[in-house]
Amino acid sequence: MGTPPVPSTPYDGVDDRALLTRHVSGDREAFAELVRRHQDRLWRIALRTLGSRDDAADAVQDALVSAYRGAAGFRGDAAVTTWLHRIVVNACLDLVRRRKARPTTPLDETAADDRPAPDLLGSRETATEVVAALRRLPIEQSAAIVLVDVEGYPVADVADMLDVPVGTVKSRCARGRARLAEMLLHLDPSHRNPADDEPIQTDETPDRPDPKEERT
Amino acid sequence: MTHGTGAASDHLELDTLADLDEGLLSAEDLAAAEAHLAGCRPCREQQARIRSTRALLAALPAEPMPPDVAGRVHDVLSRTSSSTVLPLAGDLGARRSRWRSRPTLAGLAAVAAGLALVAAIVVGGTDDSSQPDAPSTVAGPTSDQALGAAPAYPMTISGRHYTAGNAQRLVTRLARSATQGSASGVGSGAGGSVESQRAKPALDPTLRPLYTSRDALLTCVAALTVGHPTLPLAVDFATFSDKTQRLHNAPALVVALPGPPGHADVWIVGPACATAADNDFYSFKRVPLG
Repeated sequence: MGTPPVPSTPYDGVDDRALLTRHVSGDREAFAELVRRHQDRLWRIALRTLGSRDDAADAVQDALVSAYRGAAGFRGDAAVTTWLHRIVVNACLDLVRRRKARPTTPLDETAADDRPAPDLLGSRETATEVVAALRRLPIEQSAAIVLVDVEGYPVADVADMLDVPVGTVKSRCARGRARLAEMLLHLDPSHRNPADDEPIQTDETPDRPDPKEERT
Repeated sequence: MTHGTGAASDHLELDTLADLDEGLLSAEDLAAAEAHLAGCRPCREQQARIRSTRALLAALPAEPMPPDVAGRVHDVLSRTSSSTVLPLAGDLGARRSRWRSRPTLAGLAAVAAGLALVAAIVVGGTDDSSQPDAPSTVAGPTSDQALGAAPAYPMTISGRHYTAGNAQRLVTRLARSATQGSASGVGSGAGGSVESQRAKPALDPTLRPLYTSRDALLTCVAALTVGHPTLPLAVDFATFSDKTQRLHNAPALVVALPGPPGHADVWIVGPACATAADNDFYSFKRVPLG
C-alpha cells in the first residue's frame, strides 16, 4: 500500500505560498496540489495525536475543508505548513474536547503498525505499545510530543503551531515523556522480568492482538 | 515516580529527569540533580529510559495517508470549488481529474424527476394518489404517509447550531431517529403542514425554497451525490458555524444520505446547495449509524 503515483503537475517549482495565493485567486487545482504535498504528514500527525484512524480521517478532512475555505485569512506571517499544521492540530483538539474523553481504540488502530518496525524498535509490538501509550496521554501532551518527538519539528515551530509559548511546549513534552517512559517501562530489556512479558491491559486499550494472527 | 531501595526521597522524579533534559530546571535544581545522577545508577537508568522513549517515538513507522482517506478528502475538496462544481457521473472514478463541465440545470432536474419517480414508486403510488397501505407513523423513505405530494423522508427545522466538531453527534441523532422511525416532522412538496421541533425555530428565508419544493431539494441531493439518485435519510434546516471559514450561525441545510453499510453521509451546505459562486459547501461527514 502506498500513495497513488502523483502525475507531474504544472505546479512543479511553485512554492506553497504561491499555491495558496493562486487558490485564493481562483485556481481550481492549486489547493489540491498543496494538500498532496503535505497530506502524509498531516495524516500522521492526526493519527498519532488521536490514536484512531476514523477520528484522524475526520479531523484531517475537517481541517482541510476549513483551510480551503479560510485560505484568504492566511496572513503570511508563518509558513504555510505551520498554518496547515495548526489547523490540523486544532481540529484534533476540538474533536477530543467536544467528546470530553479520549475515544476508545477501534481495533483498526493497530493496522497502522502492521509493517515491520525498524530495528531500533526490535519488535512490531513495541510500535503498537508506544502508540497505545501515546493515546493515554492528555491530548495537549500527545499533540506536543507528536510534533516534537515523532515529527521532529523545532520547539519554536511547534509553539507556533500550538499557539502557546515555547516553555509550555517544553513542559508538555517533558511531562508526556515522563508518563510515556513510565508506561513503557516493561519494554526495557534491562528491566524485564517474567511479569513484564504480560501484555498491557488497560481500560482504554483493547486486548493486544496476537502478532502471529492474520490481520484482515 | 521514585524507585529503588534506600531513601526513596533521594531519587529523582521522572518529571525532574524529563525537565532536566528539556532545560526546564532552575540552575540550583539542575546542579542538585546532576550531582545526584553522578552517584546514582538507577536514576541514570531512568534518564536513559526517558531518552530511549524519545528514540522510540522518532522511530514510529511513517505511514502515508491511506488511499481511501486521501480519496475522500480530495473528493470533498473538489466539491467545495465554486467553479468546478460537479463531475459528470462518468467521471466518478477520476477523483483528481479536472472537471470541466458543469452539469446543466436540465440534466440535474431530469435526475430529480427520476428521483421523484423512484420515490413515488417506492412509496407505492404517484404524487396525486393517496396511499391506502402506507402506515402514517413510521418514518423512513419507504413508508411515509403521503399527504398529496409528501416526500419519502423526514424533514425537520431544528435550527440547531452545527459545527464541524459537533456535526457527528447531531447528525447521528438525526439519521438514527430517521431510520428508527421517530422523525418529528414530515414536509410536503407543496408546503403543507409540518410538525417542527418543540420550540419552532424559524426557517431562514434563504432556505425556504429548499423546504417548500421537493424538486429543489432533490435537485440539491442529486448535485451532492454526483448524479446517483438517492433519497435522503433525513433533512434538517439549521445553522452552521466555523471560525476558519468565518461562518457564524449561517443558515444551513443538513442532508443525511445513505452511505456505505452502517454509515450515513452527511452534507452541510448553504442555501445554494454548494453550487454558489460564494462557495457554500460547509461540511461533509461519514457517520456510523446504530
